[in-house]
Amino acid sequence: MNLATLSMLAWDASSYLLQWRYHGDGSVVSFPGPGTWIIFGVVLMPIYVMALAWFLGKPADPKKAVMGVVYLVGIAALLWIGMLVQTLMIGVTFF
Amino acid sequence: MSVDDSVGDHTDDSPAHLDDWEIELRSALEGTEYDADLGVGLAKDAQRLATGELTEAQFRERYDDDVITNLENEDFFELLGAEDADLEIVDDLRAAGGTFLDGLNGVSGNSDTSRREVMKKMSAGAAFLGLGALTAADDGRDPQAAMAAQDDEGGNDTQFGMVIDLERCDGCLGCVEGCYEENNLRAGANWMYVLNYKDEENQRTAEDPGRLVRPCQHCSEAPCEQVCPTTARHTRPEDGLVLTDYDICIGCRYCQVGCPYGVNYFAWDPPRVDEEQHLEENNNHVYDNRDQRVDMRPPRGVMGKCTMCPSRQDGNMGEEAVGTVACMDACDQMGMSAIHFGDLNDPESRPNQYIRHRTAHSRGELEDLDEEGVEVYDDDDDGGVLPGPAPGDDDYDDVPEWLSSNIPSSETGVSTFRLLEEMDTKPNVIYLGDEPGPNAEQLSQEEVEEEAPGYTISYEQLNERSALAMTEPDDHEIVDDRKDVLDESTIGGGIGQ
Amino acid sequence: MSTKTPNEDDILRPIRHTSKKYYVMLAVSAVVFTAFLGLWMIQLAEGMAVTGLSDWGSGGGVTWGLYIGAFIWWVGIAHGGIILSAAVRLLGMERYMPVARLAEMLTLAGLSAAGFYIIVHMGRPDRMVTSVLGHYHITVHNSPLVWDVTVITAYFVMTATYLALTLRYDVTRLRDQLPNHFEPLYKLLTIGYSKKEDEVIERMVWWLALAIIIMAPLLLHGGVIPWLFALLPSYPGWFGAIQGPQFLTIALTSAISGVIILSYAFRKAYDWGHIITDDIFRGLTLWLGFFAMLFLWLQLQQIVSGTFHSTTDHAYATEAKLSHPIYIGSIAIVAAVLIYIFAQTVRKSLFSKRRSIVAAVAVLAATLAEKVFFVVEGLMYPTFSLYEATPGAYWPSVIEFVSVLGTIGMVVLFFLLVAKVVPVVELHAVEHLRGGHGHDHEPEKATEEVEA
Ligand code: SF4
Ligand code: SF4
Repeated sequence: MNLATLSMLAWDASSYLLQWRYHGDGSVVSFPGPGTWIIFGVVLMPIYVMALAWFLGKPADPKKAVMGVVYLVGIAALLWIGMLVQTLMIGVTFF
Repeated sequence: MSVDDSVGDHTDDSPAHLDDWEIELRSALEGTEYDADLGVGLAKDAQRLATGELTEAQFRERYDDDVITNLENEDFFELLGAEDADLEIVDDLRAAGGTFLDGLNGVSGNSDTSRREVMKKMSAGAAFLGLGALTAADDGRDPQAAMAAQDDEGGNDTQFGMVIDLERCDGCLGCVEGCYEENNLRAGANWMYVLNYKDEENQRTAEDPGRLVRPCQHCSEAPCEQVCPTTARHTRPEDGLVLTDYDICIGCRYCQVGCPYGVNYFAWDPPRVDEEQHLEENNNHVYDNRDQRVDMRPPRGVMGKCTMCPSRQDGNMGEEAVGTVACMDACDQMGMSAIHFGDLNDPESRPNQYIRHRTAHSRGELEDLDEEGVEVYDDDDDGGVLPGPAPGDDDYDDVPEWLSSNIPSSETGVSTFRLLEEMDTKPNVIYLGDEPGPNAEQLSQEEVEEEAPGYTISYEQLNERSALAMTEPDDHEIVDDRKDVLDESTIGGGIGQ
Repeated sequence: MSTKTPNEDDILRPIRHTSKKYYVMLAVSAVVFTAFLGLWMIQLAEGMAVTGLSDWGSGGGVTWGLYIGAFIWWVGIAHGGIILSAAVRLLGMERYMPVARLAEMLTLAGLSAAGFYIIVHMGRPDRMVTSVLGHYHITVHNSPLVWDVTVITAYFVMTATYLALTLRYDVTRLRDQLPNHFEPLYKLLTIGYSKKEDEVIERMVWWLALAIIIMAPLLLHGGVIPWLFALLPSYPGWFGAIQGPQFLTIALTSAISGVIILSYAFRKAYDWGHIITDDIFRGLTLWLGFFAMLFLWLQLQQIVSGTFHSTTDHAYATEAKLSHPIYIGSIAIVAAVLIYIFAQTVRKSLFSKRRSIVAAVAVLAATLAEKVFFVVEGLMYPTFSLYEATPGAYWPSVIEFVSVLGTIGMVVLFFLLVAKVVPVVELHAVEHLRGGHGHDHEPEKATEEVEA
């Protein structure tokens, strides 16, 4: 029984984290959908390689590599936060 | 007990599409205390029993009395070595079982298969689900109990859908009107749509057009849902309806692009009735039982399409509306009963009853046609037993209209199809009648009026008939030229044809 | 051709001098952009019905049209930055160095315009962030649109990082000559700068360029953007593996055209004949010809496979395409440009910068038309073609047309403003043109000041 409870918990957790969904016909879809490996496995690969090279390449300067990552993350955050503000404004004004 | 023998042999014989359930079942059982091999083996043998590969005697030989008693006692899970069945695990198994049943449905979709066989298969599917259906498999006649039991357990394998008899449709457009009224649709947003076409391959001409009644197909593998970037378009797990959450949708219209059938209607302009008023007046009708806004016409800027009336199914519109949809009601009222909505997984649902009835009728397996036009099945054909009273029975008057009225009979039997099956969307609308071929061409209303007068009513006539359109003639017309309607709001350009 | 030696003053000219023409252009682009913003607000207030779009199916129209076509077009133009950076950084074609930064800025501007189109295209733009990001962990598994959002974000962020990193060198060295009122910005841009970092940043930028060069053309414009269409089997005009390469060649064709026009404008405005030389134009024009050839070659593949012995729906869609003036027209324009470019390689005297500009503008018009047509055609000729007798055709509304001018105005505005703040030609380029590759020409004082 314990084992069953455990496995159930694992199942629930995985379905929550990985977002399994039930189809009408009872089958389970989603993880790993094609996007999982296309996007995170293939398309973003150049970024992983780049980040690795930043940290591992010579002449090395981890500080600058960290700075590069901060640039990337910062600009991404700026972009989406800006977009959020803009869309919220649109929402308030027009919807 | 020779469970091991049964696992792994004969597998080549099983149709390929039946294999998914096995993988799922196994993965659901593996890692639990349940005996996966036994479960899969048993299920497979149930399947063989269904296809006749295994006789009942053989089946009994393979499994000792214990197993069979347990099976009869509806406890499949005990067989697998569990002390007591966990609800969640039951659900998981049932999810796998849904695919299993689906596979069986695929087999039964073949019109050559007799009803008896179909019933046996369905029962076997139920047996596999641990619902004590072995007794049902015994005579292949009483799957109803099994299905009812299944419902009691809150199984999630309901799949709403429709059977639409194209040969019964007479082009009255009652369904279109009913849908407009029910959902407050904008002019031209014909969630339900009726097309007339000519098609040389089917000997359909302008004088004798073919017809297609087209709601959303509520696909089980809905591409519209897959492509949606927000999960607004989703399948309701409890009944398989494909719906749009109007509070999440961003109006990107990718679902409309992804759908191969052209059934989506975007809310290009503000709705007829003001949002607040609409929500106030229709609170029950707009939200389903999950409190998600998925029903009636969408607000401006989001996507709408045929919903198959979820708030009716949830009982929000009253008990009598459960299990009905507005277009079917309208069609029944017009005396046509071409649309049959219900749970496609339930053999006793209206669509399944209708399809059996209709198939038997077309094959000439019905006798005793009484004057009123009520048919009674030949009881000797044990595949043809259909619940429902015969003339003279006390409850004879209860025979539903849709079952008893003028079913068209063709000599060759009736063909069934689903639209664009090759796209693998697994649509849940089953059509009876001729399928439009790849070269079929739509006929305009004018063409039909000219070449085949009376074949369909025009939208003008529909608006004259419709009380709704008459009360609000300006902006609530029922039309089929949505582009023209929308062009009125277009700022410059946007020429029509 | 000028024999002047380029110097710092040259590249600082846009920042220091403001001509009357500048103000005129500023005013015009601002007016056009604002006009579109105004029209967009009408669209927001009244609904998308103000466009010429409708529902496909019994709606008799197309649900995606010019907005989506123009979105793809702008992402395509944005690829100019990659081509030039690739040429300079990875292939060592240093003669293109003077236009590399302009091209990279074009990437940012083009992607911004594309992003703007995504929002303009939506029925409920106010939910764009909450609905998309809020369900990202689910939708990324299956929705090509979410893949697009992901990769375009990555592309934008990487290009912006690239620019920011390379600007550190220039801004530090030119700091003294830069206007004081942007001081806080320059401080931010050069934060933590030390001379030692040059070599490290140089290496990081190389890897960054490599990552962008693999991701953007091959996986964005030859990947997730065409997949929006190519993965849908119910549209014969879209479906199929060829759309990846086809989209990419069209993107590169328009990107080169964009760079040609942009470089020409700056050269003319700031008297940069000795920096952006005729040689650069000649080279860019040749590239344009090469990409145009690939563009046409892949169109040919599609036409042949769509006409020879294809399925009913595919044959039908191809036939419709081949009989449409917009398709024929855009292909003819690209073909004419290709013929001109081939002719001028054989006969050098046929080349002139003006002709290159005409070719570039023509190609941009053709690629925009082709892209919009591609989107519309797919929806007009689906596999489920039973709606034929439903009345309706698509022609973009005034708002949609103005959106193109509006986003062009937006991009022009971007350049007019950015050119006032940071040098649009790399200091490296000037150093290179002067014959030195080292860092020994920069004024020492500036560096020390920043370090202090
Ligand atoms: S018919 Fe279209 S809209 Fe309806 S479920 Fe299928 S794909 Fe989705
Ligand atoms: S229009 Fe709405 S429901 Fe359709 S794909 Fe976009 S977000 Fe999803």
